[in-house]
Amino acid sequence: MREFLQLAIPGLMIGGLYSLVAAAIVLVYKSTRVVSLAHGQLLAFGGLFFWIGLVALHLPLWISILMALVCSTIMGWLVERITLRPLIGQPLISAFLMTFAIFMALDGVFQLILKGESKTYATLLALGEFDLLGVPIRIVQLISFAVVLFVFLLLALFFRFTKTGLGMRATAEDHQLSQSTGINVRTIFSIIWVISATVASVAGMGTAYVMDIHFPLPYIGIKGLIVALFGGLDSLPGALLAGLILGMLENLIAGYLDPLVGGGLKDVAAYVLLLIVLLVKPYGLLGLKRIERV
Amino acid sequence: MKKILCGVFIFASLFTTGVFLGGAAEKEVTYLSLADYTAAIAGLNVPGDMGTEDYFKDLNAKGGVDGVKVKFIGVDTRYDVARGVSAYKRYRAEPKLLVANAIGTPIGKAVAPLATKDKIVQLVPGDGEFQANLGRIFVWGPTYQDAFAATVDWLLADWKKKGKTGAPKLGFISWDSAYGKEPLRGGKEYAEKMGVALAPPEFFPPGTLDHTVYLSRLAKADVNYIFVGGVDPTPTNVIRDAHKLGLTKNIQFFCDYWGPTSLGTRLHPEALEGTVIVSYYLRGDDARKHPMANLWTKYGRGKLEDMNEVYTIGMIWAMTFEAGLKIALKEVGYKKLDGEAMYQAYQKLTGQNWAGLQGPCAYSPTSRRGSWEVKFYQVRAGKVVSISDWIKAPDAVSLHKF
Repeated sequence: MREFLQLAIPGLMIGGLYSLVAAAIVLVYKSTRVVSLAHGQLLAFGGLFFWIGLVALHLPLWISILMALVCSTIMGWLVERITLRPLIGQPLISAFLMTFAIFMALDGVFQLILKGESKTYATLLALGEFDLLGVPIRIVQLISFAVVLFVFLLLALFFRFTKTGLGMRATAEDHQLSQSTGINVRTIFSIIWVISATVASVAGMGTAYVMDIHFPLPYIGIKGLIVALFGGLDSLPGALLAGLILGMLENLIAGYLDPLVGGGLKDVAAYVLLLIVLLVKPYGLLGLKRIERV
Repeated sequence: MKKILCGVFIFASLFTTGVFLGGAAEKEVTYLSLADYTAAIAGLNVPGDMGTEDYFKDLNAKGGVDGVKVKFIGVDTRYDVARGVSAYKRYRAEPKLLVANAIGTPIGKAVAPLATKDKIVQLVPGDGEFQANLGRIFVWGPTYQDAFAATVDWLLADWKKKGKTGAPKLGFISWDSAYGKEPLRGGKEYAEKMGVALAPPEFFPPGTLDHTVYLSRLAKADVNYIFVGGVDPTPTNVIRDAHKLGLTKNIQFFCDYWGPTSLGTRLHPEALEGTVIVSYYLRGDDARKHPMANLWTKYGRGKLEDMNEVYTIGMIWAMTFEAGLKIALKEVGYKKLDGEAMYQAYQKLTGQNWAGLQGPCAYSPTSRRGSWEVKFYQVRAGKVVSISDWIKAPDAVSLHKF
């Protein structure tokens, strides 16, 4: 049991970060019907902006966080304004491919900045660890997990109680109908990209704090996409649940199955899971099943 | 009309001069680097190729090798075998392509049959297979298995020094790739021969962000030592995770020669403290204080304290090429110069010294090892410091059936 917990609890912590990336992807999909690959880069750049503030410019912690959030927000807005807005009205596949192109282009920039090296934050919070059911848990990781839950709570409140949030939900239902009721759909698209970029940026800072800024960081975005599909592309609770499950599952598979096959299953786990989900539950765990009548 | 004729004459003169000058500058040979500048092993490849490029720049500025200049081509493979093979195919027809440096064991293995067919000298990092099966493929230094075997010797001495009894247990963790598994092909046999028990090895995909699961399993296997593979920053990140788990307190960590450079140690100095690195090239201040390191500042790479030691390996590749080219030119002349001549020349480099940046060259008709010697370094107070002289590494390649 102890071994199970030793694998499952750290998995849950990492899964929280997957959930956050997935949430950013879900936000965009819910309103625009575009499945975004670009969020992996928004995540990585969020982590990088934070590093620039904190380590390169030696700014105080809170200013560095603010700087990272602002820069990511601008980046998200620019992505939408320059590359995706011209594609409104075009087939969705064009927008999807555009996000792929953005991912690849920004990946080049990201790797050029890193030059093969790794960037790390100084130890910001040396809070030590505590014992949970015999498993040592680092308090920093727990804080990171709490931040994830807090962001999800904020998003839920935003969608439920704000006018813009309601507008976004309406837009998600039907673009033309929303436009006819006075909602500026284009503005909604911009706002959603800005919010999702901010969420991805928070995920980026959290992930990079635990694992450093390293060349595979943007590819967490791919994990995010798998989680989003697993949870249901239009479901924020689904993203949270699926992220936690995937994080835990990856660790359990690496822990129990790797020794049997000689390793390498941790990364494959996500794709196998995706395959099963697409076959069994194409709309994801909590995704809305849309019935289209002709 | 006169003006037009004058213009034509001037143009014709310039053209002819250009052709002649161009003709004079045509004495050139090509060195191809199939490198990863932006992915898993970029930490090694970027500074390594900077060293090669700077050395060739310097050499060309001094007139080249007997008037023959070296053209350096570096291609980004992103540690992807398909890209590596494709890049090789793209550049294989370059005029006077003599050497292709396939940086990355999987790419090296994939390009080997092509380079052999083209009769081009190929370099690979540390793949013992090419020592076992002699051909046109040369290894940069001692093989991975030799370096692993040298580490086994070191840990046995350490075990004895600490007054411990019984057999020490060694863990192994590295990338799930041809490179990651190479040290054990002969290294495992050597450890068994020396009475060191090996825990089941752990392999993870390059680019893995968290290594907790693998390390926990090694800890559970009660290992006394752990050998960490992977190109920096991977080993740094593995030991970072080990430190988080509290493993660095009781387990001695080792890294192979792609382990933490002094730049890597800046990232997580507290985690890396005490880590032992087996290296076949100078590290830390040994490298920075070497007179040849001045090329780093000469070519505007930045402050010397920011020089990655791998930069010096790049210079060694270039120095080896220069020495080989000198022999080949002497033997066949520029016109007949080809991969075959260079291959013959590389086998005559035995005993050449690369300014002390690594042990004496061991290339010969029966050896593809760049050198035999290793030196042990340790991370102490955040710095990479030498803890041994040059030591001849054991031959672990011959223990394995390839």
